[in-house]
Amino acid sequence: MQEIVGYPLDNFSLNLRDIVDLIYFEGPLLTLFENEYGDSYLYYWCDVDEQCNRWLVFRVTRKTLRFYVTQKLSLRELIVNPVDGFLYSIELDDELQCQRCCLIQPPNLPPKYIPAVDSYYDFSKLDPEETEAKGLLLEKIWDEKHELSDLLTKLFDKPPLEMIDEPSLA
Amino acid sequence: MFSAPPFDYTSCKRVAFRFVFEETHNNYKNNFLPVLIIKPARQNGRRFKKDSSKCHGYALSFFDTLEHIRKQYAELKRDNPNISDIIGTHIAQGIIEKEDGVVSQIDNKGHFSLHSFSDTQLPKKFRIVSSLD
Repeated sequence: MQEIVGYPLDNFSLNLRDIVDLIYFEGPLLTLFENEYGDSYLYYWCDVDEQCNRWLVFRVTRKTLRFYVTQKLSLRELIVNPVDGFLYSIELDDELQCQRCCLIQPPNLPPKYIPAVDSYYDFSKLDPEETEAKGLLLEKIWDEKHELSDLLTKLFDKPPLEMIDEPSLA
Repeated sequence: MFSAPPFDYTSCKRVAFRFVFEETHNNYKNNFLPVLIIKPARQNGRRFKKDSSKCHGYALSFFDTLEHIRKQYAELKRDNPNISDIIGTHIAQGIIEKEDGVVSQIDNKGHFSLHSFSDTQLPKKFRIVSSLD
């Protein structure tokens, strides 16, 4: 594994739920997680040794995630400009237990952990066997309509579907 | 062990290319082992929760041409420059015979999966033809 310069933490305290693998080849390489409040985090595989896999974990906003999957932002841009200004580096053993964790600032990332300038996403990177992946991803990034629906439900006591789904005649 | 291949897999003879580690590498022994054999704990993750998905965890990835496997490597490396540390440092070529197992259709990236039969000796059928970097 590459040497990294970071601020060591006693443990990885985020409580994250695995949503969908965005990049998969014989194993997940980039996976979308969310916390209990619905905030999105990406796990980016970056290194391995005989005991552990190392992942960079960082928060993304709905907007940056949407920009990534629609090729307006590259993976490199997400990693070198994380929303919180730092990334977690975590080392997971075969039982998925975290053996080491630290905070790392983007300038301290080893060059081999930084994706190429043209690291843009396309949906062919999803695991074709994961049949629900596209739906899960779309739900995660394009839910303004659901938010509007929730708001309208609260305002009118029932889902006013006709107000949302009716096609425009214009 | 759950290893039943999907119903649409067939036995056929096919030229195949696969990412592998060279003989001196620690991971050499895993070159032709499916992910759920190497890392059984992954069975408990979301990815392999369904039986149909679990079955894919016992398959091996191959490509139909050298061009396709190189293209896949270039794509993976754009996102993960360190990718050869986990998928392999070299490309091996071989011929999968009917008696070696059952294979999926070839997808638009030239990728297909093999469920090998238990007595198949894949390492003996493949040889390294190219380094990845």
